[in-house]
Amino acid sequence: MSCSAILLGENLGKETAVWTEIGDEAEEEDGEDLSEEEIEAKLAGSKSRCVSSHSHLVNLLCDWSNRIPICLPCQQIPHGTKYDKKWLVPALQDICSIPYTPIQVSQCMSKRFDCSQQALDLKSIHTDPDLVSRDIKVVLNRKTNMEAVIKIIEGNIPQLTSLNLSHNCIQRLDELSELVTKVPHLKVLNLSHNDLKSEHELDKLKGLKLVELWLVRNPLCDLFKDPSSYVSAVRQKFPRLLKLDGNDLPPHIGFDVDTPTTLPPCKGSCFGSDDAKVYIQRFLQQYYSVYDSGDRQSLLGAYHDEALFSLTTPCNVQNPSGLREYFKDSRNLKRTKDSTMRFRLLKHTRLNVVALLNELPKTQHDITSFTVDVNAYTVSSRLICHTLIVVDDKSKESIRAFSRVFITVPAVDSGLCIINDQLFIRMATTKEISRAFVAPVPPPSSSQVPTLTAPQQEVVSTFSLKSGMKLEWSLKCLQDNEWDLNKAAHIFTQLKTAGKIPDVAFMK
Amino acid sequence: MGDQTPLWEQIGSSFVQHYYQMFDSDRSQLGSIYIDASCLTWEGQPCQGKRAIVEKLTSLPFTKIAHSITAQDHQPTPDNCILSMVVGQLKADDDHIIGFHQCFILKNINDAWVCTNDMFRLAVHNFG
Repeated sequence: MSCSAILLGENLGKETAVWTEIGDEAEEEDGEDLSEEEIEAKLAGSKSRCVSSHSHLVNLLCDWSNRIPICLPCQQIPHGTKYDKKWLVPALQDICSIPYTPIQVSQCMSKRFDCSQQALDLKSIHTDPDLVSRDIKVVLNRKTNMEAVIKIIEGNIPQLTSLNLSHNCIQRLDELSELVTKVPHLKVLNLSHNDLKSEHELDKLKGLKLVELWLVRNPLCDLFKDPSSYVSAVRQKFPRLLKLDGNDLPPHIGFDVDTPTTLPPCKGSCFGSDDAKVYIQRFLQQYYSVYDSGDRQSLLGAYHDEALFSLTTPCNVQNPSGLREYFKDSRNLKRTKDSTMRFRLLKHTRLNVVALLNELPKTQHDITSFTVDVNAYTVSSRLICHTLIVVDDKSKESIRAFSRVFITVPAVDSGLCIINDQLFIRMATTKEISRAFVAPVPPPSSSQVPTLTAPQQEVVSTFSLKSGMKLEWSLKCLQDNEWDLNKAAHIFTQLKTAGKIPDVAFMK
Repeated sequence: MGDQTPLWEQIGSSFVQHYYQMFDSDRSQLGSIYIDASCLTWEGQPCQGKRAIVEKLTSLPFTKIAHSITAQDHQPTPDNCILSMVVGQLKADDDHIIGFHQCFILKNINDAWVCTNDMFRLAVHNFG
């Protein structure tokens, strides 16, 4: 009569496994009649071990609770056939002061627990045959049922990492908010096919470090205008999320306090406060590393839904080609009213903004070139005015300067969110160019370092042709030898004969 | 939408014109566009309040100054302010022509547009 022990155990002290000595009578259903008092006494005091003849499910469940091995077959309360369950259950409940769930639920849950994955599948639990056949309804949209289930999880498998609650008509997540503290390692949560009506329900789970979430087929999903606002709303609540509804999400601009970044000092910048400085430097660093990465799609996470972006660039006759890639639509040029021809684009909503950003030329910014000024403009928003030197990946000749202003508001995940973005792109001044890229920036695979003059480039090409080495290796050799072509050639030949030049240096 | 200039652009550009005109002629008058809550960051140095700002601007070490605007851009902000960005060149006294970059936040208080934030930078990177 012991299998409620796992729950009673809490009441009687965790070290006590309340098992009756079953002995050889275990298989027999008819034992002697026990009086009510005797049953109570047995419950209250005995410490015995479960017979290993019931081991067929013991192993499965030893992991479930390594304090109290549970024996499932004994779930039929021995001698219970003599006593009406309706009487026993309340009797047990009286003894046990904690909220009590029939053992069958716990058993059912343990069957659905995959120890190797630390995963619990409670999908459609109200239709579970084991429970239904015993007339037990675990309806998870009821507070008491949900609370009980969570208590079982908390008490037995707090190290759970994956939980499936789909198809359970769940409307509210109030009780599930316990998971945040009680099941802190939960990474995968399936709430699909339920009845969650608003994204604010998810706020109750904030703090869970979810990596995978399923929400499909909940009324809340239909409230979003488009898939990306749905994705971004969810991501704001769960910044570590990598998979939503089975789809991989693009890497996210994280504002984790944990990840340190090394930033070169911004000289002359004014941040307003030291806290703001670290915060904002990190934001800019992350923003521009995505900006330079070739796919700016994940910048969506940095922008507010209603973000505004405008791009201005001067076009004067003397240098028409330099900024050509930024001119998309010649109609606009004719439409501008300024006497100095000017090209402008204005984009509204984050989707449009990022779509435009994705079409701009690939860039590489010089991280040492940042000058940043920050003003607090309202209590929470920041005006971040910054200038940086940027090199266009394709034509290394044109080094540009971005003068850019962000207005940022705090984002829900304690990051920053851009709501206004004004970008002015101009050619860099000669002074800026001479100082740009002073710190070596790793060159992309096959192109020259931007600051070479035309004659220098010629020397490199000649050397490369003669030696058979790739351009950047030729460049290095020349640089190491003070651009003395003869000396470089001599050293090259020496090293080559000595076999010291790796194969990868040579053009195929 | 047509070719009608949006309101924020109208306000922004007339402010910009007014600002540089006043700056170039008599910058002590600039107090009229700032309020006590305004913040100016001038080449990395912060100033707060109308008086401090005017003091900073009038104490700049040049007598003659001329600004030429290369480009300006205006955007509305969600709280009905205007973000204006100006890029141009200036010449002070007998110095060389230097590029500059400035941005303003304009706010409507009692039917008048004032500047609540102002950030100014010369277009030369301060590496040293």
